[in-house]
Amino acid sequence: MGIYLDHAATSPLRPEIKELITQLQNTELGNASSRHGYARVAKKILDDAREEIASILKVNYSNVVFTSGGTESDNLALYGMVRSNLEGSVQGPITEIIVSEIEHRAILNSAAEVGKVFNVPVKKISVNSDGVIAKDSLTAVLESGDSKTARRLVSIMASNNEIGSVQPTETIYSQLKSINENNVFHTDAVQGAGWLDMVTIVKNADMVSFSAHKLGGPVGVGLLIVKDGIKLMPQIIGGGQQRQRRSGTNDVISAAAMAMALKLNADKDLSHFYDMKRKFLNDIKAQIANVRETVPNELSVDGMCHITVDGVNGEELLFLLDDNNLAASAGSACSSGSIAPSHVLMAIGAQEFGSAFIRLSFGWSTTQNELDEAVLILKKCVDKLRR
Amino acid sequence: MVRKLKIAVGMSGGVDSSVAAALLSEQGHDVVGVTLKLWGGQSDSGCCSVSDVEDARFVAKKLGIDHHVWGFVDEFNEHVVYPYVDSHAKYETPNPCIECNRHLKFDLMAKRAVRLGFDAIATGHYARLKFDEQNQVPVLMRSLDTKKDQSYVLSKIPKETLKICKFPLGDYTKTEVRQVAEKLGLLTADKPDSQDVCFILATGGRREFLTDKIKFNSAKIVEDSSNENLGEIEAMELLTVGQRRDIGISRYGQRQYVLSLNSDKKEVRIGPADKLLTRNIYFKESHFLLDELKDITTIYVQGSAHGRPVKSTFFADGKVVFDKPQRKVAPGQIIAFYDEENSVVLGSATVIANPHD
Repeated sequence: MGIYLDHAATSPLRPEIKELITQLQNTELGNASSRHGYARVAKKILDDAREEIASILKVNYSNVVFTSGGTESDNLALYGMVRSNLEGSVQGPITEIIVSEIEHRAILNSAAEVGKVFNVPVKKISVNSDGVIAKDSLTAVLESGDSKTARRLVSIMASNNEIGSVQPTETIYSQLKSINENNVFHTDAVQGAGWLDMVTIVKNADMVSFSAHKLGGPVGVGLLIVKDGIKLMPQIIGGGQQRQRRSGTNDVISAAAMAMALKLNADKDLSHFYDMKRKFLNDIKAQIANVRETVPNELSVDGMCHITVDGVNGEELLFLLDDNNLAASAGSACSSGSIAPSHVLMAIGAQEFGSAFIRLSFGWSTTQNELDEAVLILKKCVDKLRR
Repeated sequence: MVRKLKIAVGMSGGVDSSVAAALLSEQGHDVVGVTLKLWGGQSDSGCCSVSDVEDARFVAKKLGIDHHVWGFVDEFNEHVVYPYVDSHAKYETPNPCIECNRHLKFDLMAKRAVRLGFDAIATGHYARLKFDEQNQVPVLMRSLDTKKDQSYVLSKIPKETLKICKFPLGDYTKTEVRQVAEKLGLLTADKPDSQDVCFILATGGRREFLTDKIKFNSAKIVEDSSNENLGEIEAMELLTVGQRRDIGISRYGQRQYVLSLNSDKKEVRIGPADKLLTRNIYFKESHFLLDELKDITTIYVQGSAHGRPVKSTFFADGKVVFDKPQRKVAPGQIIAFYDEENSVVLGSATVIANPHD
């Protein structure tokens, strides 16, 4: 096959997880909520998964909610939190939703929808040209109005899915809580989970979203970590599974796969990617003229290189890379399949006409040889288009 | 044996381009389906809605060929949408589909295809190409099925692009094309032809589209022979020379037509059908697909997509004179020039208002 540098879109299924799934598919499993032997087998797999995840993330097993993926986790966090306004809570209703302008669409669009449905204002905070939240911008929003009585739901991603920029969630969390301890902080760690310290991220948030397929697990399963004291209303109503937070027959095989994906990720040593990424970027810049990092290297996760290539068209470069069996991506695909203008690149002021924006993202299967080969392919394709 | 070419087929999601791709694929070429994403706003159907892109993708899957979406949204705005708006502001009747063919499909898409290593591009237009061995140039011709012929909408495309074009439907009738689609089990087999401008919604029409983009001017309606003022019309920009509907006036039992739009006087002159007849059409921006036409050449002129070609004389200073009086062609519209005897497209030009009107 070719060279797969699109782990940020989805990471190939890890062989260990594939084996686990196959093994569980060959096991006779009942509905985990039933009362018989088959059910107990299923229930044990589910509880083991929950327990393992809790132990990796240093939370209680009851804080773990399985979902269908990152998008559902994000939706549940925002909807579930603001929906509780209708029930009333001692901490008071959520009075404002605050998101960064470079959040994933799962946050931006659900925040807008939730805001509209429950009549709660939504504010967007800006990022600087490095793709990092400007502290002043957040402070200004947090301190506006009556900051002691306002109860804000803030959602800021751990690292950005397009450019890889890491957000200071720890600082944001403490700032938020120091202003009003009833403020709620959610972080979308779908993209950052593979590259950042998950325990620190979870420690500094009330709710955290994860997705298995970005970590070498299967598509279709995610997590929302919900800390104690957070009253979350369900978005999917039914049999009341998962402590009324997410109904639907428990998908125990996916839960086990999710747990294994987190585990394999927590165990692996990623330090070699620090050097691999730097070498990769240096080689690219040495071999191809007019290429630069879209955001500074040291501010983004080691698993992602986002580069700006002047004088070529992004769709054309991707086409040729694909022709040469190098899988990369550019911007985010819109519903019709063409490359839509990226709200992230616009937010950092990088969306110049006439340049290609290419994301090359690494993962568990990436090797140094592949990166060396990718530099040559990239050079060949850029040269062809610039001719 | 035909040389195997790598061909990018423009697939709109309709039956014609589906069959074009199928035919080239059957001939053994290395075919890749390309759907252009052109319009970024709302659309009923037309060229670039999500459902049309998906139809194209499913057809490509059925044919076993790759499918790509190429985005030219900014370029479409620049070359088609903004000029369409400007043209209305100048009281003209633009033809955005011709501009799209000229700038997007047969220029930007063609150039991209070449950069990406394709040997040719193809579309589902009903037209033919033959190679003139003597002069070593490709010649654009009407399709064999003259009822379906679409050479008119191709009459403005760059001459250079013809060298890498393929029109596989040129020898087919629409019925045959639908039969091929049905035989191959293509989901687009009975999809109706697209009719309208892709960025204009059926619900709001041109009026809604233009409302926040240009200022509508009211104008007097004047009966041409009597100079009688018959009232006011609110948006002169939405009128077209030759139009009868929507002016709401019938006199002496005769249907009344828009004869001319005078922007300086803000005046719309109307009259009965025979007043629309003229022999002289003035034009700008002539474009030739073969040699430039010489002054005072006998040609055939076609003034709309399915209009009847009319024997005329071409004057190089910007005029064609019909042998017999014909209905006026609205300023902004395209007239295509033909060597009718040989079904050859010679070129085209954009109609301007009669300076003597």
